[in-house]
Amino acid sequence: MNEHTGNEHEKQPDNAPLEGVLGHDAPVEAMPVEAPRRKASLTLREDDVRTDRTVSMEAANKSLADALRIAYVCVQGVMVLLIAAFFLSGFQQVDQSEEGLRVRFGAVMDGTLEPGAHLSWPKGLGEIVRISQTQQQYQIAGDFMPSGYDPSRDINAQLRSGTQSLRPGADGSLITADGLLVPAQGAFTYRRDAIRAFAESVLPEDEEKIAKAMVRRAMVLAFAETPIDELLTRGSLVPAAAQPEGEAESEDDAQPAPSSAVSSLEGRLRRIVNEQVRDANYGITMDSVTIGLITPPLRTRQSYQQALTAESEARAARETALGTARQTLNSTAGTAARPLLALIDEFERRTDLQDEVGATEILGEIYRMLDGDYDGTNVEVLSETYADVRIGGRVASIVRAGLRDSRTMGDIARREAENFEAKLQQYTANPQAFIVREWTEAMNGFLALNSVQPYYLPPGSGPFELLINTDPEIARQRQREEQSQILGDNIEFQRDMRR
Amino acid sequence: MPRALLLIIGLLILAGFGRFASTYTVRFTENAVVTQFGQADEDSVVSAPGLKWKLPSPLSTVTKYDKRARFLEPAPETFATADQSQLVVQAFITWRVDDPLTFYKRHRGEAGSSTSEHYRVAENNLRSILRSALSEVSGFSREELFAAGSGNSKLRELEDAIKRRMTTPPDEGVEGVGAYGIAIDLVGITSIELPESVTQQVFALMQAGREKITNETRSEGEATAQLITSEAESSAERIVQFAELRAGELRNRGEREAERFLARQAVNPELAVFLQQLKLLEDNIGRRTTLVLPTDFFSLSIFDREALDARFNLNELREIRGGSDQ
Repeated sequence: MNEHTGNEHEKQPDNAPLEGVLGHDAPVEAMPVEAPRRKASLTLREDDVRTDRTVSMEAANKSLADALRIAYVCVQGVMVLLIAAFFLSGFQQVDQSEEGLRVRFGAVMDGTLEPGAHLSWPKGLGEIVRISQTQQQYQIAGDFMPSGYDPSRDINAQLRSGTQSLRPGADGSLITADGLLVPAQGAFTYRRDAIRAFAESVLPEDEEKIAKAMVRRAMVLAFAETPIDELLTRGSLVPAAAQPEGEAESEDDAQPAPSSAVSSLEGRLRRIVNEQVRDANYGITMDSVTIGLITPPLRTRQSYQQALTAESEARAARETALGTARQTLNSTAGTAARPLLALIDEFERRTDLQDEVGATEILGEIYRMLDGDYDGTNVEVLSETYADVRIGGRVASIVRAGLRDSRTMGDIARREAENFEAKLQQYTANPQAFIVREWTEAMNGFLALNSVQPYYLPPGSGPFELLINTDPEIARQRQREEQSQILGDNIEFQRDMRR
Repeated sequence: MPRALLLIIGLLILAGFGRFASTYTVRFTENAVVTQFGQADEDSVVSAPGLKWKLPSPLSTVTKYDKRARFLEPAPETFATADQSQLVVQAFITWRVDDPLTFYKRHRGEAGSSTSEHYRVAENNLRSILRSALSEVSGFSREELFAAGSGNSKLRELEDAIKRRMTTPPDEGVEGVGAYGIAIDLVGITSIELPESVTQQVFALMQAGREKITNETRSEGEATAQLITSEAESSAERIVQFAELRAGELRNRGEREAERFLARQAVNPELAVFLQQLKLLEDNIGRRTTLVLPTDFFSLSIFDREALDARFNLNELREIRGGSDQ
């Protein structure tokens, strides 16, 4: 334990430590040194305390001076960095999908900035307002659907579990031009195509709400002017997934193909929205408004489904009838059926007009077509062109039979005439012998047939009775011949069609 | 360097303090109302964007209002149409601070100095004004609001009427939005619904209508199919008639061809007929035919000896036949 006199601080020079703190080269000798003490009455230890203390203080002061020097340099560095950061804060990048506005003291300085790096005044004094040019896409998913509708869940199940009536404010729907109700969904896309107007007009946090409200308004307006039958045309707006089980339509109906009515409605929706956007000058343009779903309310769904089924059946019946009609006409006259009908119509029209010359001319055309003169060619009848006309089917058989008969008659007559002339000379030479010879030959031929059984009755025989039955073999033979004829006609018709 | 840098920093700090104390910035999206000792007059409104001077606070205060469109869509409410139908209507408006001074004066006292409070109070007032304006629904019947054909619905007219009423109310003593320094950009009806009881009636109507259409569609479909089929058959028959006509003509042509050859047989018709009869006998009689013929079937009476004698005077034939009879 050291004993102090207690007055050493009073005798320190005032300026010596301060100089050390400020970093000046203060000599160690300049450190405070204790004044001579009076003789102690008691000395407990004899060591060099003063020397140790002096060395210790010297080291501490040096460390403090170093620390302060470093801190000072750091502060200077930070300030320089802050100043640099302040000035560099005006350096900003406009991305490829953006356009920018340079703002200085709140005022827009020049035109729009293209993508790239741009320099503006430092933050607080200036800024670059960047506005995305990408297409914005939103959905009108639940606004006009029953309450609790969840777009992420199966719509079919949700529609089945819906309510039997609609509660205003909870169950959304749209009213059609005929005062009926339809739930519907839509989607839309828009662009910010005039960024100056957009930046000046629309509060960013309200942008989506405004866009959605304008589309919802357009839907209310467009549906108010469209009858429900037009909206539900062909049922194509009801997706296959939304149809109740067991009531699936034909393949054709199962595909939700946009009909012209839908395209028209979507076009009208886009126009309505864009009219309002233009009026407000909000700097945006609606690119598309699509109707994703229009469906009858649950309670009426079965009735609508039945109507759709009936419509589908009617369409199928019509298609079947058209197919049958095509087949009938093809099997009647091949691909020449339609031009033939056009010619026949024209022939009858001219006949009604008593235009005999014209009718005869048309009849000649009909005959030429029936004869096959136009086979394999494109024929123009009354400004309509029929491709690859080819006569076939029943009509071809009839005409061919007529032609064949015509040729056969001539041939037979010619052969008979030649035969007659050949035999006339024999007959003239000896009529009786000629007749007998010819008759005998014919009778011999007749009697030699297997099917002829001669019965000779002695002269003076009494009454003769003959029982006659139908010959079944003859009936079968006729049937075979008829079938063969039909088969031949069909083969010939198919060959014609292939040609 | 240290002294120069310190000087610059000091100046910057001073400028910063000076800037915040005596200047303010009006952004291009804002209007400002600058009051001197709490007083605001027409010169207090600053609309041009840029850096502006002012007396240091609290001698002068600046209140800035965003002039961009704000969105408001109150809850739906029920209104009666001209034909006493009940409709639940919801509408939206986009509004903005059009007259900052009026807006400031109307809302400063009620909502304090916070601009967000000014907007909140303004929206409350707008809700009330819009609700009142939506009663314009009573000027239109349901048939006028829902009418088929583009441009036939009077919903647009209703929206115009609502906007007009919000801007210039017809009733005396009722203030329009202009009195609050507000302008309405857009008014749109975003939803029209029917009371729940009415929806049930509508559903019943829809069901009945669909059932009628179902029956009509079915019968029309069948009739159409039948018509198409019968028209095709009729057309086919017409074509066949012309084909038969053509075939007949072709046969006639053959007949005329045969005529020439028949004329050559006119020199001895009996012989020609006899030859034809023999041909008939050879070609057909006895083939696939059960035939019982009287002996005088042929006009030539070839089974009748006497007839042959009479016709051809065939004495020699008699002798031959006499031999075969025996």
